[in-house]
Amino acid sequence: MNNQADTQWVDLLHVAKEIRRSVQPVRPSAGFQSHLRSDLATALGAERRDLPLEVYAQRQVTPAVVLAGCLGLAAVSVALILLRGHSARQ
Amino acid sequence: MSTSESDDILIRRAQENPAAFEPLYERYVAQVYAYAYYRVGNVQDAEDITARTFYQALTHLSRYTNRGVPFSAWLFRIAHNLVSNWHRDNGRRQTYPLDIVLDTPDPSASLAERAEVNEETRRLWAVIRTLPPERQQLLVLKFVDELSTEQIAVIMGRSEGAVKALLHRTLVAIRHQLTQVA
Repeated sequence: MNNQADTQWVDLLHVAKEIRRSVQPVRPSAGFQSHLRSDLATALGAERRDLPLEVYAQRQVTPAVVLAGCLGLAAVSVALILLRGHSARQ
Repeated sequence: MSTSESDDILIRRAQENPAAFEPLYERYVAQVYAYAYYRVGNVQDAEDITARTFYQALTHLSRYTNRGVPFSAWLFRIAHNLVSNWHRDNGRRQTYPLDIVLDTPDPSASLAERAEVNEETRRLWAVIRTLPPERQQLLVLKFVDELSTEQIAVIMGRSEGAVKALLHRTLVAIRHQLTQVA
């Protein structure tokens, strides 16, 4: 029984070896790779031009925008504190 | 393949600036092409599938997150879906010439040896082509792209144990068919 199982394993390893031996490395041609690289770059440019404005605006979160937001919040907070103080004095 | 920077770093960079997609393309284009070539058997369709795979990857990259599926597996899944569509559309046109495989024998071998190797290769791949698509996919990922069982399991959405069992059954089936042909 064991011998039969061993023989089967040897056979399967042989099949695996044959498959591995039959495989030749294939590579895309340099011309194809170059064309595809160029096509992807073109697609990327087209995609950027096609972006709806609101999506484009959403992507423009720069440090300056964040700073402006923080300053705005700070100004609103100070105004609220001053208003509260003014109300308390009255 | 360059391993200087991890996929995660390259992906983050490409998600912030899609123009930085090129290193990912360079890293995987040969593997995806080899996969496509061995699944469809001709250069023209393999190039088409490779191109479509990278277009789709580029288009959907912003939505990609590594939730247990590495970028390479994600790419192979895209390629696999395109190959499946190709087989569906070309179901009646079973042409698998595998030109490159048969045209690049060992130059040091004699003509008789080359002819014999070509015949064996032709016979073997003719048998492989009769297997169900998922078994062909497994063989190509294992022997052409030389991926680990773990990587194949992620790509195929199965456990490692299931992949090992499927490989065993597949090799048994090939051996059985080869002995019948002989």
